[in-house]
Amino acid sequence: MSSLGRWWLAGAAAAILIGAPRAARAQTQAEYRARVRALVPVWHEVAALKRREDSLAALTLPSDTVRSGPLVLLADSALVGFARRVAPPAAAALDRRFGHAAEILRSRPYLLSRPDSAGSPDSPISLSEVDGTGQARYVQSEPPDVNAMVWAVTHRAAAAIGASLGGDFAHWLGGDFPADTATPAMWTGVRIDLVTSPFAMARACYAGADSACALALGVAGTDDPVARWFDASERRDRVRHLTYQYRADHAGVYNACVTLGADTACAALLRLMPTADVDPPLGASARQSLLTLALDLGGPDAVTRMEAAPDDRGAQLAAAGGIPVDSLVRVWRHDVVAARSSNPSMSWGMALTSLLWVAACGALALRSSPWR
Amino acid sequence: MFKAILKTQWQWTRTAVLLAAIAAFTMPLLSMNSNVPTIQPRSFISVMQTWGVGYVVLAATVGLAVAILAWSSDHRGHHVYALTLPVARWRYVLLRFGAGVVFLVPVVAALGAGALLAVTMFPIPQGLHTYPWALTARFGFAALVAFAIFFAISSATARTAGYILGAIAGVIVVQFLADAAGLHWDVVSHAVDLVLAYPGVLSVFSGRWALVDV
Amino acid sequence: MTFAVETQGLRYRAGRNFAMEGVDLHVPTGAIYGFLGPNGAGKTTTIRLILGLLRATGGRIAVLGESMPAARVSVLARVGYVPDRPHVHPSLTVAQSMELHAAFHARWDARWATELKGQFRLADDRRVGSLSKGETGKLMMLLALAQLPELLVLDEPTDGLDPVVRRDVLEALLAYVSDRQASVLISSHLVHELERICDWVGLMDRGALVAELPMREFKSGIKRLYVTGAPALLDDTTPFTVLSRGPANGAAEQWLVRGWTPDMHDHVTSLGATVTDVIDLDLEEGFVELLRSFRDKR
Repeated sequence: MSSLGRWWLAGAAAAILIGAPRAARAQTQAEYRARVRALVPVWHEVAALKRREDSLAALTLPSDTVRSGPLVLLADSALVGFARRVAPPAAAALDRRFGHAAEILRSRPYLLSRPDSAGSPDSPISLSEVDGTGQARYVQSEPPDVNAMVWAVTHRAAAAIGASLGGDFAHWLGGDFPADTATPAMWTGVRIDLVTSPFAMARACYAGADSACALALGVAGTDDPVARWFDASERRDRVRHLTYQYRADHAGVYNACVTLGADTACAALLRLMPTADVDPPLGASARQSLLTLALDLGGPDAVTRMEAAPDDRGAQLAAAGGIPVDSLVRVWRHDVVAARSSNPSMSWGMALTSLLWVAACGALALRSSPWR
Repeated sequence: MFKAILKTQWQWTRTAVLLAAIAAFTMPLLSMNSNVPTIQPRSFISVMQTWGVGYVVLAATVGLAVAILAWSSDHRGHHVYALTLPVARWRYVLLRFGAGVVFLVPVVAALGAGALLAVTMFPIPQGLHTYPWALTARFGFAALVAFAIFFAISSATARTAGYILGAIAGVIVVQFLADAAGLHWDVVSHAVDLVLAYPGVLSVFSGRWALVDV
Repeated sequence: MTFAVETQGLRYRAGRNFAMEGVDLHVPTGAIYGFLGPNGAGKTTTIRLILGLLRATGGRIAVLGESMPAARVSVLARVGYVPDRPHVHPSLTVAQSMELHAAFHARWDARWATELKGQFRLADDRRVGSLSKGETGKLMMLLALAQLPELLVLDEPTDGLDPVVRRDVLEALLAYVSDRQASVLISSHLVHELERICDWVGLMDRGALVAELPMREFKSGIKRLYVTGAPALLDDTTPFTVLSRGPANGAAEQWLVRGWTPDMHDHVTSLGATVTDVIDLDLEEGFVELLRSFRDKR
């Protein structure tokens, strides 16, 4: 760690040590919260310094550059062979998925390194993102397996490409930008989310109302989500689960909502929250599946069209899929409902396998020795 | 011959079979009953899956009990009676095996009846589906697999049983030595996966066991 | 002579303490063969080897003319077995155990089984586990007899039974043998019991067959002689077998001999000795003396 980092850490520690007794002496919870809030930025700054120092340390390694399409991998001499095996399949996958939109990766190399340069060939390999200023930011580690690293690189690249769509879209998505095409497992998972959702809108969607699906996914009704996404009991339930901060800051409205059951109070309190803090009824995995479907339908230029579309979720998704958003949601619902496996408890394969094992054990028993 | 074996084997198996049948009949009813105060589908499914463990345990227990009891008479008499009967060993084993399989039927039927009754009697949240037949079939296959495994082990000599235990101990010892040598071999996990993952011998026991599911 | 049971060079080992090395047993067809020996001699082991319950490590076994254990199924269909310990599950009733046994034996005589049940005063609904030792012994005998076997193998069938039950069981056995001309291999350490019913006797000790001979030879041929002036060594021309010799009162010696007949006095006299007394031994005494001489030789 650099001397600067050490100083910052020492400073943060001192601040905490000095602040802690004062916080303990604080007579009110408001004082306590204020002190904690004051310390949080300090901690963030120290953590950023640490990351920067790690990046600099990583960049001091002698690196070779491996290019494949728009994908650029940096690796030290020990890993350059590994990088050469990773780059082509990763670049091909990105091209298939994102087409021209993947061009932004040319200016965003990825660094493959081993934290311990003397580590064994079996030790994990770190993947870092190198930004425009040349700083490497550690992302994740993977075992020295080409497929695993291809997966990691494509997913990180997908996140970088998806970031070009802006913060609002990323917030709505609520998770990783989909690098893979839709799978049965994905649809099954979404189906479970849909069926078990506590929100009436989601259940109405499952029951067949496409407009409810659009609302539950957060691609419609975004002008007043509090009123359109939730019913009165759901609003009240959401208020009941607000953070302590909100409850404390708006105690009167909170009590009117929760204790007296006033729906106007509930709605008012929820509308006070930043829009970003109000999630649509269906969760991130459902929204990711909708985007995955749009990208699957739209082909390699889907993201490019999304980037060119107006800054509206519905319009972006329609542009990606190449079909109106209503149609997209209808197809999505159809795929979700179709994902119901005919029988989650038993399958013919399982039955046959069981019978084969029974026969095998029976045969062993038949051949058991008669002598004791 | 089979009738005589069936009749006599029933003598010392009936208590276990009757108890298991009662448990199998009541389990689906209890699982639904415990869900009545719950209205959220996710909680409903969660409770159902918790009860799923009960079906697994019951299937394994029934299989084990019926298999052990199938041989109990012979073990008790040191196999003298069986060995002095004028019947080939394989045929005698088949008779005992067949009788054991027959004794699994009332337990499986009880579970089926309980499951059907439960899904008829109790309401389930919208969007969820009931699987009484699938659950019954899976229970039946699981009990059958457990029975076959334990039947085979019970039919073997003490030496063979020792080999099986030795193999299990061997896996653990290899894991221990690998750990000691600093090798990153997860032998136990691989062995467990081999057994529990499809198409492993115990794969029928793994996965979702729920009377009500999506 | 044909044999219901014949073993040649039968070998078996159980742990470190017991081994059978080359047992040659011959049970003549139609005979009642008493298999004698002290506890732990290897009688039960031999019987189990004969019936295929144990696997011999060497030698050959033939039962009713068929090789064992190769012809196990067909042989066991013709053999009735009463084990040393009851082998029927205790939770079964008398009727159920008869039903089970009948299902496996094609020649089961249900009418005679019912007769024997009445004769043995066994109630249908009594559980095997609740029967007295005598009743259990009777049930075992019933099961063995009602399957109409050509060979009965009885391992200590009357051990621990009271005299009345023992008589019932043996009477049923003798009646069956006389009716069916069946062969019987009966092991016991109750020598007097066998003395009354057996045609042949085999004596086993420590895994070896000490002697095997017709009962009449056994009973009449083993004598205790009191001899004076006995020579130190006997030549090969001696027409009887001296099983053992030892000092008696005074200058006399006590000989245990086999194959003695009264006309052999002259031979002893020709050796310069005189037989002063000849004592007949009963089966038990002969059994004990035979064992003693066998163990002395070892």
